[in-house]
Amino acid sequence: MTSALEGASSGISVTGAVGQPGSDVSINIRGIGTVNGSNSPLIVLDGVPYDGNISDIAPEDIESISVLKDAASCALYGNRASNGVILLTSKKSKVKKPTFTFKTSQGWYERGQSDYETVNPYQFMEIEYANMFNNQINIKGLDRTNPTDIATARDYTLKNLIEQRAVINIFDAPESSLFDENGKMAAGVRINPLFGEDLDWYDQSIKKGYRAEYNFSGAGATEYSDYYFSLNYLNENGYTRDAGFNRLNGRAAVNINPRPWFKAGLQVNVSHQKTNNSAGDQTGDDSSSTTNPFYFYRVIAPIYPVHLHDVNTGEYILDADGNRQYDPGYYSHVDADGITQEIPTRYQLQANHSIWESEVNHDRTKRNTSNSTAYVDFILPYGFTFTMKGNLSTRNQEYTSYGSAIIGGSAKGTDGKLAKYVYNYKTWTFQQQLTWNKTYGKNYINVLLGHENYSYGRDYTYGRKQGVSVEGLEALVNFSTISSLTGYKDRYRTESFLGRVQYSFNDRYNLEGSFRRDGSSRFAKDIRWGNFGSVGANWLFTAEDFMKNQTWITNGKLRANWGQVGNDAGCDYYAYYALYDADTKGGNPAYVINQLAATDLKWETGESWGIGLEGRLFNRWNLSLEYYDKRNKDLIFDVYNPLSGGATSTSRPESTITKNLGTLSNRGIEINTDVDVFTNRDWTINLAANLTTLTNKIIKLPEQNKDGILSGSQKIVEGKSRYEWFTYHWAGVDMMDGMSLYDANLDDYHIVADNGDIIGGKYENDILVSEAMKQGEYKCIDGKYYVNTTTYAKRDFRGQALPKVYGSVTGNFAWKNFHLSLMMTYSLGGKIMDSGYSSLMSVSANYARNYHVDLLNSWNGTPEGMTETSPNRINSSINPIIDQANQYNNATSDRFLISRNYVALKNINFSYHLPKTVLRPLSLNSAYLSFSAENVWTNTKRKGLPVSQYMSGYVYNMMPIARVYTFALNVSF
Amino acid sequence: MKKSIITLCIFGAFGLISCSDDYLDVSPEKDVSTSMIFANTQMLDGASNGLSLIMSDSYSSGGFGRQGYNGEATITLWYGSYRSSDAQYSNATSYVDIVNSNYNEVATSGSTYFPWYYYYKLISNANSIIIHGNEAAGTQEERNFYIAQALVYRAHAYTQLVGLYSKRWVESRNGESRGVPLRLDDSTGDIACASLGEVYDQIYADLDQALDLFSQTSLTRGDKLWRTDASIAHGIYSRAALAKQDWATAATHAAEARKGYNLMDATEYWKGFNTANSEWMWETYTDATENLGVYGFFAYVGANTGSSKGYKNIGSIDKGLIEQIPADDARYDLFMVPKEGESGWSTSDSGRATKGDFYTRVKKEYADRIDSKNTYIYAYMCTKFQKIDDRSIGCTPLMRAAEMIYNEAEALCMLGGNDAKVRSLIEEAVRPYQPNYTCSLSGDALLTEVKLYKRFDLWGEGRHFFDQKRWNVDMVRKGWSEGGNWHPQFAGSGSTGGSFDKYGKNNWCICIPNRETDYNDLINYNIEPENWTKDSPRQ
Repeated sequence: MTSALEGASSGISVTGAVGQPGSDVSINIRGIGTVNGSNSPLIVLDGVPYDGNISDIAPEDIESISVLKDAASCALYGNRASNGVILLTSKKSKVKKPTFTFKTSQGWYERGQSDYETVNPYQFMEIEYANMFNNQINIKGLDRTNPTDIATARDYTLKNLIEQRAVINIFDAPESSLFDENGKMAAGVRINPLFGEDLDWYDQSIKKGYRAEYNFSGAGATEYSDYYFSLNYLNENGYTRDAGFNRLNGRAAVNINPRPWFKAGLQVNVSHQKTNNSAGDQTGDDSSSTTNPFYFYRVIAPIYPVHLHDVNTGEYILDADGNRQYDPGYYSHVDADGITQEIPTRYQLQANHSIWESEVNHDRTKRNTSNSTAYVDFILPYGFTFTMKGNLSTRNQEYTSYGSAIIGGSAKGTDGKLAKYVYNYKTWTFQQQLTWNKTYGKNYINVLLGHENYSYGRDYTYGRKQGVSVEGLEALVNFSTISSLTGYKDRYRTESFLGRVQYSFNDRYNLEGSFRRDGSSRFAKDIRWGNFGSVGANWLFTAEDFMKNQTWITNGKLRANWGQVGNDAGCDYYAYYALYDADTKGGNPAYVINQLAATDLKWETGESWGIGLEGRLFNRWNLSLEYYDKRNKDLIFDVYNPLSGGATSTSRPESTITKNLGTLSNRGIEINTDVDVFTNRDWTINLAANLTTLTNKIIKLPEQNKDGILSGSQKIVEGKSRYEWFTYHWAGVDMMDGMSLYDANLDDYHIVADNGDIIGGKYENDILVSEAMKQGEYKCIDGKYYVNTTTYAKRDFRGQALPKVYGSVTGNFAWKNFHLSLMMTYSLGGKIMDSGYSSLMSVSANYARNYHVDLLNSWNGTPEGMTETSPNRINSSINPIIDQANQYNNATSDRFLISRNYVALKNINFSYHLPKTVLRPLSLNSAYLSFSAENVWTNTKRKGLPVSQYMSGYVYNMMPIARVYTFALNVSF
Repeated sequence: MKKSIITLCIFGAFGLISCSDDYLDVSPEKDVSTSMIFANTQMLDGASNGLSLIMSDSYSSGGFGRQGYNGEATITLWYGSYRSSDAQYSNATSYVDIVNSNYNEVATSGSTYFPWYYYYKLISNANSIIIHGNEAAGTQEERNFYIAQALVYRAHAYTQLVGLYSKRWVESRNGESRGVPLRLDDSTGDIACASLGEVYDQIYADLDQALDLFSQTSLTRGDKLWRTDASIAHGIYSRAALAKQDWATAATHAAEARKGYNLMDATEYWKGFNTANSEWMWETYTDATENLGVYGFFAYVGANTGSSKGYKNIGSIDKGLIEQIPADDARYDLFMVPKEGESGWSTSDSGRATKGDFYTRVKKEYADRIDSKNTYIYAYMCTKFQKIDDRSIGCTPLMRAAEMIYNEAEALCMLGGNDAKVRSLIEEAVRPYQPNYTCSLSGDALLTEVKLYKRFDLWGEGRHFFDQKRWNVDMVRKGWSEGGNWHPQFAGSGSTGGSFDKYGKNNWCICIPNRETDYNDLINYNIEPENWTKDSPRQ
């Protein structure tokens, strides 16, 4: 369903899409509103804030989705609406006659984006050769132009490359004759076919996934009531071995209207869901976990086979039943003395095997959800209506993780484990609203008064046992030792009073004002209430007399609005308390400070204004323009104390207090347009496009954090965006020695020149505080100072991560009963720190691993004629020398920042509606067939770059998005 | 009329709808608020026990850039042992920044933060008990006991902090050099560094007050050896006084500290250093339900651990050190010392063996002390530490009676004129393991003997670095070609090498981390400026 939002309107960006079936994406409306809390919009289902996951609802049950972006419309929804609101309206019966609809769709899943271009086994060996050869030259101080020295390094490499690095020789030649004198693979050397057929890890584990959905619904009405029901079943198998999702979903809604003054209704939505999680499915947490296939397949060196082979002959080593066995990185061999020797087959990822682990380990989530809403309306005299609405939403979720003792992390030490996480969520909302409508001639007035309270509860239980007795039996009873058993509750409540007045004159002038008073349990008693409000106006100028005769524009409207919304999501549920963590030591209670009191913490305020112009031109072209300026003030912020103040966390070396400080702004323009290019009796062609610009900027930071808050390779600083890269500048490769050059940090270090002058340093009169760089730690090239190690390099701002412009282009083509639609999405501006790529560009000192093909273009000796003063001494289009010993040559720097621009063909949909002449004899109301494809094609700056994982611009080894093809049949009778 | 009544009723009802006053009062059901902690001495007991939890907990890898930080046992292993020239971290070259003290001048490294983070966390929690402890309802004896316990933790934290971050006493211009910020209340704002002398004065004052309070209570810690009592106060007193070269104080408190404790016999010594016995004075505690998993001490140094963090690099003893110990010492064979004529280990790293006669022998002889499937074998590897279960279950000793014997002996040597007493002390410490040991040395040779057995006996127990620093000994690590057993990366000299003199690597001081100086306007430097005084302009 969320895929319906992407590209549908301006201002919406969708990130976090991964190929795991059943996973939710994150949605951002008009940029990044806050620093601490969630940036997700509030979802409102039939007028009540909705707490579940979007994937709990069957898309077939939703009649319409709309998005509220501006302050005036969001203000009424109060807290949690500061990031925008997504309004979902469920289906109702439209006609009296009972109508039934059956829909099924069948389709398949495949990987939607290919991986980085990595080396083949031959290229891999050449890179390994270069690495060992260069390493020998360097550590032995040899001269790479002297034939004797070259021979020394070469001899060492030929003798040791297999034993120390590759571990196995998969080629049909002995190690001494694998390479020619230039370090290239010798002509005629081929891969031993027994290894060769077993090297493709992707091929042996990625499959075509399958997707099937069935939906049956019915609706009807009588004089005093209407009803709707549906049953939906979805079964998805992802494209990895273990990813899957299935959901059974039921919905029933009934509305009654037995008396003119009384209306009531009840709707219930329940679901049962099961997810088989594939490692690498969501967050970056398991991004480098060995069970994550997308990490494993990406980094495993291309010479390592999936199955065990004899290291000498390449023959498969079969088990007692004659089957092939997976290769955990070693096998045992009993030698003549009866001593068991371990024969390694690889050092990399030894004792891990992603395919094997995905077969024996299981991660499963079971979830039952229910969401029910009941309401009564009393239609009173004098234009008053009184409404009471209650919503109860519960969700029980059980996540089970089984780690086998056979292979992988759980096999070591714990002898297998079973962990269970149980979450019980219960939220309820109770609303009372009184509305008054009145029309006096051309004047229309609507007044709303309301009260709302909301309660959230979560119970969490976690238990883990280890020591499996029967392998594969996923029950706690099957394990010997309890290694963890814990749990707690969270409670959170809000209460609100609200009022709104709408006035309209002749539909031409419309004014609206609202007020809201919110209280939150997260703040201390005397400051927990905040007052917020909004005003908005629009003018239908084409209804004015002076525009009456214009035919080129219709429905012309000028809009403006301003509003404030509270936000408390940036702090913990018990933010104002001074707290101790309750734990145990030696079986006795043990309390440790984990939160400092924040008694003056109050609401963060999202304030925004906008102005817009819209209209329909020449009766075929819709155009709307809007400027928005959204800023969050009194940002809820974790302010740092000196670390000697006593850290409050066990995971970060920080002492923090939560305070309201700082302002963050998002500004930009949104354009939505569509044109009926051509329309006649048989044909309709409509083209639509939208575009959003975004300028995200930190306006104000706390005094203590004025110098900026460093987070990874980014720094939050006034005047820059929330996600601003702050890293070293890679100037290029020094062609004299092949080393990376970085701009020197002459703020914190200084250099003593030959004549005694001091260059750089933080304090002019006191060089004690800045350390002097020693000879050899810096290089002066053409008057500029460079260093080879990032320790002495200067960090600076290197652009932002967020895109500057994004949007979509849609085409709709219809001919008679055929309909084709295409949607492209695009994004311009912003940079990604491509850590996936950088990890493929460096050689590990510990073991051989996979490499990117770009590494083949690396420094390989000083070019002839190059001198220290040559103008082209620094080369930024080549990679530094391949040498495992140098950890700084491929350090994180702006060398690995890359544009996040992309254009994607998001989806194609082709459908055919059966004509009435066919339907009538079959007593059908309607029937259609459709074919659709999602994530058809993506173009990124670098092949394999996952551009839409996170707004923050970091990338992780996650399951790439899926391409989904679906055939659907829909029959209504 | 009827209409109006209905309308009025609805309005009336609407007016009553708002929630009760306390609807928005929710209290934490997971954490405990401060007012509850200091409500009574039962809770205060938990807060004091919380200090032991801080000493033995898992500190997530995210914030420190490295997995395996667990509190005091991390200081023991990585800061107190592997930064010396007595204990080698096998082939763990990815830990070279720690092993070679390369982070001493890097204010942004996780390795620089950790001790600062950990000890000030301990200090802030102890401060809270010391300040508010007397508010708790209960008996004065109870309050005295828990406040005294907190004072001991605070004194311990400051002793360790100045050992890691400040200069040696001999270079302190009689205590005038930079100490660390002395936080004694629950403030969290700016604070200047105290001088080294002031920090030691506070340590003494805390311990004096703790001993006074312990004397006014009949409560004892019982068998909860992970908590503190008067003997621990004496023990820390002796450590601090040795560092301050206050020999008489060190000798008195060392003698006082070990009263009531008896040395292990040889059998006990071989049991794996994972469970308290008659000699242990203080420990960090873990068991199956408080399992630290891959964060635990034994996951790194327990020779039988299956943890992939540990089994590749269990740690080994300096060859030069063990060669000075007679082979018939009952503790000698805890280390995999190659026998005459054996070969087969690598001399291009820390001595890893994968085949050959040495490998074959130790695989058999030590089969029950290693993880036979996984453990990497090194020449001179240590099997002293053994996990009880899982990857790291077991308690870690923080203070033993033997250390107090060595402390007393060293202090008496330095005082001079006590050679006979020192000889009897060293004999007392060694005889359980070498029944025929006698000592006839005197003067410097006697002092060297005391130091030798302390280094050997307490191998891997976290005293090496602190002792080596205050003994003013150069960091000399010999590679195989020089007759030692050190990995080339740990042995080499130069800016990133592991051999350096007593002034190298910022005088063996870790610089003050950025997490302090960035947010503290009263400390504007990371590395101590030369001739720093309390009143210098940018203190």
